[in-house]
Amino acid sequence: MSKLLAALAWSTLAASAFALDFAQDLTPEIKKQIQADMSFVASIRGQEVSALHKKIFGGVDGAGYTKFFESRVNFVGMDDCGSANAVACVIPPLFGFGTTSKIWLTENYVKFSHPQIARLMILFHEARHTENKNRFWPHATCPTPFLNSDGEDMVSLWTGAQLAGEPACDVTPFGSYGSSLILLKNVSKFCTSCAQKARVDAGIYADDQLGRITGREALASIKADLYR
Amino acid sequence: MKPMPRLFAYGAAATFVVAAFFILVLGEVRSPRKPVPATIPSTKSVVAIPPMEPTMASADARLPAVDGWIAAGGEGDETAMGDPAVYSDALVQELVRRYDAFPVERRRERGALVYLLSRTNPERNAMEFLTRVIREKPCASLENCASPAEGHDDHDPGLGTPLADPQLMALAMAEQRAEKSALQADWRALAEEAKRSDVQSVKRRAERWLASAPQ
Repeated sequence: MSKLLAALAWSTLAASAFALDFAQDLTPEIKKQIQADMSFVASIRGQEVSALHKKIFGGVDGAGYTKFFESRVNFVGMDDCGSANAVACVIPPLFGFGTTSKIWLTENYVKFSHPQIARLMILFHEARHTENKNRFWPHATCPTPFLNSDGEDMVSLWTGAQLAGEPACDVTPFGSYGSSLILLKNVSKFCTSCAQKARVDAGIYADDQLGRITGREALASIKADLYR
Repeated sequence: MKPMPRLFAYGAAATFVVAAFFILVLGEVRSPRKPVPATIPSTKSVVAIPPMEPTMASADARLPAVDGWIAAGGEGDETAMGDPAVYSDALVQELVRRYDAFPVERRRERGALVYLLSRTNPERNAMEFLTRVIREKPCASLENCASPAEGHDDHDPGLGTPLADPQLMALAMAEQRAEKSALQADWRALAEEAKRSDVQSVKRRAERWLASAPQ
């Protein structure tokens, strides 16, 4: 009897390890993947931390990341997010009034060949978009023209479409692109529990996100915080 | 067993069966699953490790560990694979063969193999391999590297990072390796080549590397 109770208690604890509700139509594959991804998040440990990271997430610490995520997101559902290439989205309340704590994933979350770090970035990017008090951290419109250092147009490599004038940038370190960049760069630099490959992946994805930060002051503060 | 406890046991069993019936059958009937938006044909992303060549590498005890790690998407503990710096030539060749055998759309697995092969010796061979990866044609879309995706989603995080996973891994590992290398000029040549890449994210990373590296 005591063994049965212990097993019951354990299974209850295991089930509530992540306080997320999953939509009924979420495929078992996606559910399993998000649970594995959040388990990885919970395992992250690091001694050092950058100032911007500390301000947004606290330390490089799995418990803190889990708390950050679960205090914003309590439901994961499925949607097409308006594009065949989308991986995830948040649907803000009508006219921006009200709150949301739901994120929506597409089949692409597991369909395409992404490293775990990429999925982590997507989850935390979307979690940031649930923040009602910050007007859901809307993206900034990329400048026109939006050029790289060679003077070429910055393009989406999904289709080659130009990003100039698209709402696909951030002018603050604290938005969805900025904050997920800061998270990943800290994992890359300071995670002591991560496998080396995960740290390299985190660096690659963080560095690439830097291209989305178009505010001069935002870019300067991120570089001072993490790229010295 | 006494009559009463037996009756109790039968009663409990019957209750369990009835409850299970309601949960498994009626529960499903009463709350039918909403169909998942069929925006993309459902294809399972099963990772098939390319079959092994009958080489000396097949006798290498590290190969199953590498296979397991690749099948897990290059995630998790790396210790069982040992230090790639001491991999035999045969094992390195086998891993290169596997890299070439994966479809280009299997970017995660190919990126994981690049991560391992970038750390093998001799250094010049690793450099040659990384250069070859950096020269690969850009992948046009997540679904099919040969043709661009229809529509676009510029909101999606990452400026095409997933599309160039092997190339960016090659460049990131080249940067790491160059830090402690005597072959500075050769690594710099690799970075210069990456700077001319058709893949914007590769080009940007190479520019940052060249800007920060000592002349």
